[in-house]
Amino acid sequence: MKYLCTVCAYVYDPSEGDPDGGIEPGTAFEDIPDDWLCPVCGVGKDMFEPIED
Amino acid sequence: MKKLFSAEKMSTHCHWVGVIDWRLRNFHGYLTGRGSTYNAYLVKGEGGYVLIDTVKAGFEDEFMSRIETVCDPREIRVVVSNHAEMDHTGALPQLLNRFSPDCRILASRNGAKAIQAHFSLDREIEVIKSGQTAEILGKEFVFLETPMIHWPDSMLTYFVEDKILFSNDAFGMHLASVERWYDEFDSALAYEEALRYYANIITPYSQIVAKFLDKFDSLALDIDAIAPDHGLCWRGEGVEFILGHYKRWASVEKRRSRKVAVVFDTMWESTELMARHIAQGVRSEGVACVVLPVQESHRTQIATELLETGAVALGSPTLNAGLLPTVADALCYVQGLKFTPKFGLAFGSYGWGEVSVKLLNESLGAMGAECLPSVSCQYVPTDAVLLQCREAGARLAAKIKEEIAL
Repeated sequence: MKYLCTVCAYVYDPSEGDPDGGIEPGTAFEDIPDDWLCPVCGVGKDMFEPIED
Repeated sequence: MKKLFSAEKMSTHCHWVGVIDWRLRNFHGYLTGRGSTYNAYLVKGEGGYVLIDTVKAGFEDEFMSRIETVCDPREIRVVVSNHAEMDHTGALPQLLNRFSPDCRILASRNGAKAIQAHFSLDREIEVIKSGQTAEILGKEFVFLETPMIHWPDSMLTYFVEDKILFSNDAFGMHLASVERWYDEFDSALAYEEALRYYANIITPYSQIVAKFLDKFDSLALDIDAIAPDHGLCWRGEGVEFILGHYKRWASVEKRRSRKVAVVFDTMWESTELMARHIAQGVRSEGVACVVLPVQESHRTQIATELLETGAVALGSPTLNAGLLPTVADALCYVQGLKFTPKFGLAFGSYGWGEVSVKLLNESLGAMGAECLPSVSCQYVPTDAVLLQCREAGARLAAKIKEEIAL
């Protein structure tokens, strides 16, 4: 499932991951380490909400 | 260059070298009725100076004049950029060659990227390590990244020896003054401007602010003064004063008060009449009420009033099967700021299509408000409609008394 950053509107897409942030493509949002930060605005995982594909 | 302006000593090793923008009234749409300052600070280290932030482009002469009353600008060997926004970095590209030839620039990771995206400087920007103590020119500093308070690059710099926290836009206010400290100024005016600043700049990031303040408490930094990049600085009791208010504003539950804001615009005074009777209904329950006609109330003022209100009555007539554009403008702004009134009441008049209250209810709902039954009327409100308005206002006030603590 994709997740939306409620602060800056960045969308985490598991199929793309966040390679610059050390998250391999194919990583589910739930499996991202808790200290990961939004690659666009820098807020934490808790500011994300699931969105429909 | 004539040395027209002077620096102000803030502590043993620190001078304020900012500039005063007396004429500023529009800060990207924020009505800055009392102007502003762009604060920058010089810290004396061993063998040189550390400059904390710079100022907006166009103020280079005033800025350099103040610096030159403290040191030769070539003694500035480090620039710390807490925030990349142009009111704090705009003068940097032009002035960098007047500082020490090997002047270093330090910023957060996002700050380094943002500064380069703005200015393409021909030197590398060093990225700080958040939360760690760094020694710079023989002095200890602690850098704290604060992403989205209020940009991705935002950070704070704590100068250990003088116990000063350079807080960039956090704890700031748009206020031009010759005074530098909160305790030297009219405290009610300073509070009003700090509140206005929070409401119009920081509100959407309140959840992040709350978390940061918890973390900040746990660091237990010994703070004598907080020195923001706009307006007055805080020392003594002022430090607890502003931290306390930020804790309250950052919490939706704590900041909500028993107050109703009636926000409306009108075409032929029908919706205005409804607004006035809603306000009277609120008053009949003894609840505070502020009435904000949107053409006469700048959106900055509307946002400021909404920060602490528990309920919003929102009125617009129907125009062209939609809202009045003035009301849509205000809504766009306050929704962007993520205000979350606990209760909402839509009202308005229409000629033929009864559209406005439906749209207003949708907007209030999207803001998270529990909507009470709306009041709508064709053309001109009858006495019966005005009675409905008073009853609706009284219901809204009663809800507030039930659900919002004093």
